[in-house]
Amino acid sequence: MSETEELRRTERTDGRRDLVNVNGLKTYYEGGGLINSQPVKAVDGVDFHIERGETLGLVGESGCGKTTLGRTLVRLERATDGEVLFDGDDITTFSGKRVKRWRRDAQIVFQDPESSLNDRMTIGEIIQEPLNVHDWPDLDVDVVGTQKQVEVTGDGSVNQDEREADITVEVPGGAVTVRDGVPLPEDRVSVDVTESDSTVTVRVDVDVARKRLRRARVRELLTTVGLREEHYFRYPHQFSGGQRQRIGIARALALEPEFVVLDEPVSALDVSVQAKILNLLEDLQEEFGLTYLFIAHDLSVVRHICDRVAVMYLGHIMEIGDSEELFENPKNPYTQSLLSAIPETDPTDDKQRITLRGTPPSPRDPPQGCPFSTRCPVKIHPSEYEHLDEKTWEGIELFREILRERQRADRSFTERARAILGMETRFSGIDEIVREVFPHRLTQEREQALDRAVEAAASNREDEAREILGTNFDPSETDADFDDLVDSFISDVHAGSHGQARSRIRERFGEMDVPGEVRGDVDRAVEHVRDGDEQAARELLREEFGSVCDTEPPDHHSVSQSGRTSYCHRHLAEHEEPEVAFERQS
Amino acid sequence: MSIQLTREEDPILTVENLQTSFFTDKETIRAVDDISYTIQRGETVGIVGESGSGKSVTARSIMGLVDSPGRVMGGSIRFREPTTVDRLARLFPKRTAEVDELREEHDLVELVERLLNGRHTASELAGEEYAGADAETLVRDGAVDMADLVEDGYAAELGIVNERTFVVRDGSEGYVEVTNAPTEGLRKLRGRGIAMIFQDPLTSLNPVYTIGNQIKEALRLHRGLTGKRATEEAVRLLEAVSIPDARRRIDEYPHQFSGGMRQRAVIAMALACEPELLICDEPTTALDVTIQAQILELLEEIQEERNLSIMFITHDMGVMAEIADRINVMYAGELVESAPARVLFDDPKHPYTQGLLESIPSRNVGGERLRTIEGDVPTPNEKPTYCRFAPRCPEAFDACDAVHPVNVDVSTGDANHTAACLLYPEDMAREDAVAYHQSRGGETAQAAPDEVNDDE
Ligand code: SF4
Ligand code: SF4
Repeated sequence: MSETEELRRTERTDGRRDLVNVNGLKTYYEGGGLINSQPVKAVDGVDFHIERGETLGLVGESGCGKTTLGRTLVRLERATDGEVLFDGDDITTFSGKRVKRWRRDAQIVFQDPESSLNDRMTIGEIIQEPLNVHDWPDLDVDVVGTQKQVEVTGDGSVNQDEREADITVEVPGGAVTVRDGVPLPEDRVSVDVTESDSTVTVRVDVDVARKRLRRARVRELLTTVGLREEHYFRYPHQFSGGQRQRIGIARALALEPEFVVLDEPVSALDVSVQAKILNLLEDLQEEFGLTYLFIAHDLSVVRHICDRVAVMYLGHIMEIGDSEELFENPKNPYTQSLLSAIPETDPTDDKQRITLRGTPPSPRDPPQGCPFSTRCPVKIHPSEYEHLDEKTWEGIELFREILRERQRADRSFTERARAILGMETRFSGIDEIVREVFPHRLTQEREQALDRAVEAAASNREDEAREILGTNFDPSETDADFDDLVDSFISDVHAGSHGQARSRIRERFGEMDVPGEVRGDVDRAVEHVRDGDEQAARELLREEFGSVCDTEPPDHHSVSQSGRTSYCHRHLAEHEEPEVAFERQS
Repeated sequence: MSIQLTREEDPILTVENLQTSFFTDKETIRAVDDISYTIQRGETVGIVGESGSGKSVTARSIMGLVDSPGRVMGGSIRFREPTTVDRLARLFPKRTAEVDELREEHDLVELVERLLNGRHTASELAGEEYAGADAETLVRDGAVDMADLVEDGYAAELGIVNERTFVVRDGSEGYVEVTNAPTEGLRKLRGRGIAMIFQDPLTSLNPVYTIGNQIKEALRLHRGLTGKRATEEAVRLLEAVSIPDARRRIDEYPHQFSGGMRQRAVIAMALACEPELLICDEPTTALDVTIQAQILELLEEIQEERNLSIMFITHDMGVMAEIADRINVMYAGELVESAPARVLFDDPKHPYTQGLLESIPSRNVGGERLRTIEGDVPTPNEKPTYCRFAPRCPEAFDACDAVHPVNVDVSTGDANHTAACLLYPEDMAREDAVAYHQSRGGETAQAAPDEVNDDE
């Protein structure tokens, strides 16, 4: 470990370098709805820290919990469990005055500049609002140059928090300095110092009204964010999207926060405007020493602006660490899939695309084990089935997903009514699904007949195609309407979907093309479904084909020198690393 | 010089000098201002631009979906697809020009003579090399054909076809002129022929009907399928867009589908009509990247299977790079650059395209600050006699305020690459290039020529 790293570690343990420290944080929403009373587990146990002055990116797809996490950090959402240490204090326990004081330090900028600004207020009023709410400026006073007890009277008051006071008075002599952030000329402050044995009494009179100070502050902010002072009296609708986002930023900065949550601040903007806002945010950070949590779904923006990145999926942080490192060499299977899905404009790029199957599961009912286990392309297989080919695995996973999907699908009213009346519909069509999901194979002779039928249909000799199919395939072998099947076959061929046409016939007349041991399990699962017990089917499949990914949540494994971590079982010595598994597949 | 109505390599869609404006109390906004481009069979043409560039209005103009206070003011949009042409010709016989019949009914030489005796010249009709030629020669050489007279509007002028003609048929071929089509004609063209997919799938789905019923309705309307056959076909379509458990999901309502699944359902609905051209207006913008990747892959598959032509509108350069064969860049209502995708990203020529690409974070990894384009996109509210990008252009010079650049060839090799900028053609001296733009019809501000000469 290098010396600087050593240094950083020690600093972190006493919490000085970190502005924000999040431990075991959970944010759940109580779910409405009659059938599903499970809470939505938006944030489901996350740990991370944000260093002072850095930008931590938070990325993930919609519904992954990133926005809820950001809102929880600024207490727009209540944490269900865990702690959020801000400068060492757990803000989830704050109440009353303490919350209000702390709010000045932690602000948020919203995605949609359109709806986050009140259209009936002028720009000046909008930016000034937080100043009014917090009765800004404090006009608090630090008295330096004395050990005695200090008393402040007049317009000022004794500074009580760790922030720099607005006015600093030196004793004896009463020289005045006003902090940069307050637009108050020093000659407008008069000071009168009286000393007794044990106390110094400082009377501070400010001869500018607070209102005027606020207006001056607003004008200052307007120029800080690249707007003009004369914009003060205009209304939001007179501004473009980029300018409105500048207004939102000015408002967030009004109280000089240390920490700003940027919730998709450039997502609604055109690229050329987005570039300007990103540059502005970087400038402001430098100028005011801000710490950012930058939430975005656009990974290229995050890569550009963030020092470190956290990748979220279904309420969990899957990978977190140095930004360049993570983008260059992602370790977690989800990060790898996500990055590979970003369309690149680099014409020489020929990266291997990983296309994920399906959609993320519901955060009301997340998987027991790894949150990504229902879609992970390199999910660990149980060792006894390690030898199965990819096609078969794809079939098994898809079959399991369909059964899960059926379980959670919000059933329509008529369907529920039918179920109650015993006219169950849910379990019908299971054979269809099996046919759709698993590969099927015809005998060689029939395969050749199929070739001829496709060719005939393709050259508009439909009758011939019908005849070929009719003589080679016996309608009584299938429960489907043979004529319909042939019609669909022909329209597939005409639409150019030869593959679909073929599998249509293979599915109906072929053998399931999977190893015998799998076939047996699938058949048993199908039996359960037919008996109306989908639950048993799901369990059987999980027991047979599930692995540690289905049953155990992984640990956050350290995956690089710089302390990056990844939440995946594959980092354990007994498994192949994710990239090796991806490599093997392609 | 005779242009046949349809050749093998004829584009399925030809947009020429399209102009769509919006009329407000204050001003006329030239949302689409004189743009021309083509789409070939099986090709994906991308249109990129920022908000206010006119890219979506272009799409809506093609679909005949421009609502008041907007109106297509000029230009032509020709859709060349034989089955659609036949279908519409059958439905609108009075508004169809049958070129074969015209050939029989009229003497071409006599018609050409009438034009030449009127206010037209031979070079107008057949190009420079026929300047001064008489009607006999023009017809004998095949320099003017009946099809040309119809296509270029002379036939209407001569009164041999109805002025409101919007279907032109020549043997088994022909085209539909979308800008002339009546509302009913547009309805028949939409869906079957040209279908459109929007950013928000919910705009195309009705919340109170099941997905299956909506697809079946499209099948009934456009292909006359009903009952069990329609159900089978609907299932087949949902399977084609990779919706698992299709037979069951067909009975679900749009709200029971996830965003990505809904967009798939909308694509299935579009496919139900068996369109030849699919217009996609930011179809993946509202979706997550992994879902976006699924949809893009799906569109590519479908295109390959059906030899579908796709017009793809997006502001996302990455998506564009992924899907488009050719890219058209729009700025303030105009088409400012057009090139094959690879060429555009490798070697952008127009200063706006260059600026746009430089402001994308992913192309600036590790770069300190992002390059930005100063200022905002202007509202195109007057006829341009200058370059609309000039106030923001880092390369602008005096002539840019006085001469309107036209699209000129900037290809290296056989890339077919054009840009509308006075810096080109690159191998010409600056003032020659400016003069070249003027001669090619670039509008010029009053009193501009002098200024132009003073330039250097
Ligand atoms: S633990 Fe790793 S390998 Fe297993 S499902 Fe999760 S991400 Fe995939
Ligand atoms: S014509 Fe002039 S202003 Fe316009 S893009 Fe070219 S150089 Fe820039």
